[in-house]
Amino acid sequence: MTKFRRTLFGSVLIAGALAMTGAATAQDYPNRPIELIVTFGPGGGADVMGRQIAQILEADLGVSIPVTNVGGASGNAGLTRLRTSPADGYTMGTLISLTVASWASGIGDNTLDDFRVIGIVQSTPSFLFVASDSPFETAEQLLEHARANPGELTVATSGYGTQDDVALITMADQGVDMVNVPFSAPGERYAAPLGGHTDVIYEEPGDVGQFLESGEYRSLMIFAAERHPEFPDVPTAGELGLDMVYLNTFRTLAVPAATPDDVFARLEAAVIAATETDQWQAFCAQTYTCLEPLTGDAAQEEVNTFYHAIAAQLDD
Amino acid sequence: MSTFELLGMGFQNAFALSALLTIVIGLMLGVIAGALPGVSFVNAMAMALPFTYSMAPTQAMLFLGAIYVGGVFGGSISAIIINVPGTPASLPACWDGYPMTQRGEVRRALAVAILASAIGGLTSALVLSFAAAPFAVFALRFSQPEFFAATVLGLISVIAISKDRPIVSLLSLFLGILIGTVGVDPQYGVARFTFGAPAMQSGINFVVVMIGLFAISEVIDLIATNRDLRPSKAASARGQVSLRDFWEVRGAIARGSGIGSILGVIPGAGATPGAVIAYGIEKQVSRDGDKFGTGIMAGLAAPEAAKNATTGSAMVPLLTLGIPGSAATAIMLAAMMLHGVNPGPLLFLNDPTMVYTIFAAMILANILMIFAGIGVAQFFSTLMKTPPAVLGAFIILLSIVGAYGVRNNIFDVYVCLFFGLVGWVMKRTGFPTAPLVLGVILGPLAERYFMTSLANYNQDWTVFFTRPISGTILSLAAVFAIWSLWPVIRAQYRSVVLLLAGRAGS
Amino acid sequence: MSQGRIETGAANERAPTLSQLMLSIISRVALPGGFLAAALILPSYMFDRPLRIRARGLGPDAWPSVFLNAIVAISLFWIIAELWALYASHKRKRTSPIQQEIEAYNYSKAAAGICLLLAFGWLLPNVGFPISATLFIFCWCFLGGIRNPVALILVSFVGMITLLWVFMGLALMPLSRGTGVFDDFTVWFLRLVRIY
Repeated sequence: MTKFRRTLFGSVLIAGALAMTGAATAQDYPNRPIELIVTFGPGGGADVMGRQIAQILEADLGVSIPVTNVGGASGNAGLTRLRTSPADGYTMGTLISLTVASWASGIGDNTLDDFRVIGIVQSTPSFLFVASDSPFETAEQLLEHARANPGELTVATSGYGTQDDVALITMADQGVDMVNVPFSAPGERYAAPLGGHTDVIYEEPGDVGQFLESGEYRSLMIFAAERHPEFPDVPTAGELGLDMVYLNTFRTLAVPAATPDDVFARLEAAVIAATETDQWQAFCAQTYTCLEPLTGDAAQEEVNTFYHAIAAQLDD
Repeated sequence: MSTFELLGMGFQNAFALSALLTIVIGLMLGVIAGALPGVSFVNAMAMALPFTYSMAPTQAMLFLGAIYVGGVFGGSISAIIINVPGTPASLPACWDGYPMTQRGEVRRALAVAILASAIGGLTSALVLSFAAAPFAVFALRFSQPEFFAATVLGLISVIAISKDRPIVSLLSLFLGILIGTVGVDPQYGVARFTFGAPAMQSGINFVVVMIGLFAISEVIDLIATNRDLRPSKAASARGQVSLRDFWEVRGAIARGSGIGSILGVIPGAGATPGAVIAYGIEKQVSRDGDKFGTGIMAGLAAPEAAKNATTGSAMVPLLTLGIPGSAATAIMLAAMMLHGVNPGPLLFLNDPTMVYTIFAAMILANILMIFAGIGVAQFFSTLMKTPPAVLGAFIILLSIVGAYGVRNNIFDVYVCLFFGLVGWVMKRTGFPTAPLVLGVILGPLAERYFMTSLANYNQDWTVFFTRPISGTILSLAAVFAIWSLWPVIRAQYRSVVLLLAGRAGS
Repeated sequence: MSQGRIETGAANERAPTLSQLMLSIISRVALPGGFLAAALILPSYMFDRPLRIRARGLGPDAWPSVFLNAIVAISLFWIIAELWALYASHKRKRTSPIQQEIEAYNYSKAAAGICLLLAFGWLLPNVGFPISATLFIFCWCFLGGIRNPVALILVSFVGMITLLWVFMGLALMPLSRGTGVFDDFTVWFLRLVRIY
């Protein structure tokens, strides 16, 4: 009998608690920790970005922002968790270009319509780099050799069906035929040109900053419409006579699509403010990812454009 | 300056109070995080990363390095006490460490594990200090075929681990490799074996499989047999730690330290293959090899030494080339980058003080780890005095939180429970579980290395055999396989001859 | 150790009937046969949808196929080995392939434990960690023979709070809070114990 009475007591306690918590509103948002889902494991570029911005946002929003790594399925496992979380602004996630590209390959059950992109906080064009002891001093030499010897040069990339792959296929269509060698582990990819295992590496500069500063990598060309201010001597693909669709690597913060407007506006303002802080500026300068932050609908549109560019390539 | 002078300077810096304190706190955090099956030390390092922003770069590296050293050891505490490897590298500690606990020799097992880990780590830290530069050049020559060959060597060691039933072990291994292919494939980014469920695209994580197979099934057995884990009086007497024990396993520790130090340098190889290969080799070398798995000290000491011996050497490619070979070293790289320190050959020229302070701290951390390890182990051992039912309930909760914590994904909890049932059935039917786990761990690595090798070398199959290093490793693997299987082959041959002779007679 | 078994085997030695023979064949071949069947069926389930990739060299099906084929080969070998062993044992002495259970194994308790585990797995995402963990510790300890109500309640409640603090408070792990009203309750409870 005593056990029954205890259970009864427990139920009353629970019922009382429920009555007390029902009335949380958006006015006092945020009033408890906001979870930031990093859609990849610890140690990678998305993780470093997430932890950096979480620390800055904490000061502005006044609540703690614990970072949760939910890796798997090219970032889709974390996005599924974000999508199925309550759309109350207490769960944010990272949404990055690699994941958007994976949708085109049929990975995940997420679409862009499931999310509202708060802002694109990092965006960077990719480069072709070679090791400093490579025989190729300039992009012209590289392209010339690739044209003369189709399928001979190897390029370390992050995989097939990514924007790396799209760039190489577009180049091959224009006679510059190089072999895509996928290295899904970043550390091995960075080491590939240094050890002489591949001739070239397709990479964003932020992830290989240490090799650029130490002079172990040489930048040959950039996949962007204009030259990069940090790399004024590196020619663009367009200058070299290639006709490319430029697909930047980007990282965004997003919330579930049903998040109320006032909560979203609060987060958007916080993200804009965060990217203006000295701490963020130092961080983005170091990772070569500084940009005018693109937020709200404009950011959503940008991500959408990227998705369709990748999907169009795969459908060919 | 000579290496000794530089190292002396490093020790001066490492013995500063703030540095010492940083190391001790890092070690404690690492050992605890490693011992809790839920919290991997990699996560602990990621969580510690923001705290390092306010530190000086060297101090940040000491902190993260200490968590790393402590964490790699910490996993063995839970492996030995409750048969749950806190980190994957502690898997072999379950095989001979937990049987010792079941005999009531938990103190002895922990003492051997701590000492072996410390010696392994110390060896590796010395290797790091004196051989960083030449090792780095060698490691860079490792391309994908070499990684593949090293992984094959790890897979082959499965045969050595369970040589009495090679067919069943191989089947178990291949099942594990197949389980490892579930999810998004690393090359083409397409989903395999997901059976229409998007959650399956996350793949089957080996830590989750491991927790399910070992911990959950063990606890089900615990409740079904009403076994008492509390050591009896007689067992406690046997459980006393004596110096003679350490002398007995000196060879095992030396071999483990050597294997770990070498394998640690290879990016991607890391602590788990190091520990497993060391176990396999020790099983071959040891006099008691055929009794491995029943609680033999050498079988515990060798992999323990090997896994901690990878900690120092894993920092060789990180510091000399800026190449992180594992998640743990990737976080260290991130910490260095955030402080504007760029690891690479230039670092040794520009900032030798920092480099050698890190070296000295790694040496120091491995010595201090003995005390941190004993402290945490003491706490965990007192847990053994609680009634089995209570202990079982908490092991399951820790396991489930652990499975969840790997990727913060509820799907992993279901996978863990599923493999708990599978493990229980396998245990009841005598189907070996260890090869399956190794298949899940090493299979995906092997596939990646294999596919990238072919892409890189013009789809040429012979590259694995014609490249000198890879060819050498593969021949070693073949020799190792035959060496381990020789008794079985001989026995089979005899039984067939006997049978034929019997038939002829009748 | 195996002496005893051989003797009992020898004691029952007489010519097996056909049904006995069939039964022993099936029992020996069931497990490898199951693997064989699975390895033959699985390839058609490898991909959910038709592939849209430009295959370069080996496709994404190459690696799993190797091991599916290896499993086919090994299970065939195993079946042959079992049949051979059956034949051999028939020729010589008959021994039971199934070893006798030495320690008393309470299968009904094991089954109850498994059911509890499954129930916990189902409850966890729905009602959240605090409630499901408390219930689970309570039931498991009860199953394990602890009958003192004070101890049961104390262990389950204090244990749950400790776990909550270690993992949600210190390790900042986002354990499940449950859905709907249970989410609200968990948030309230986390505030009560000062984690939020």
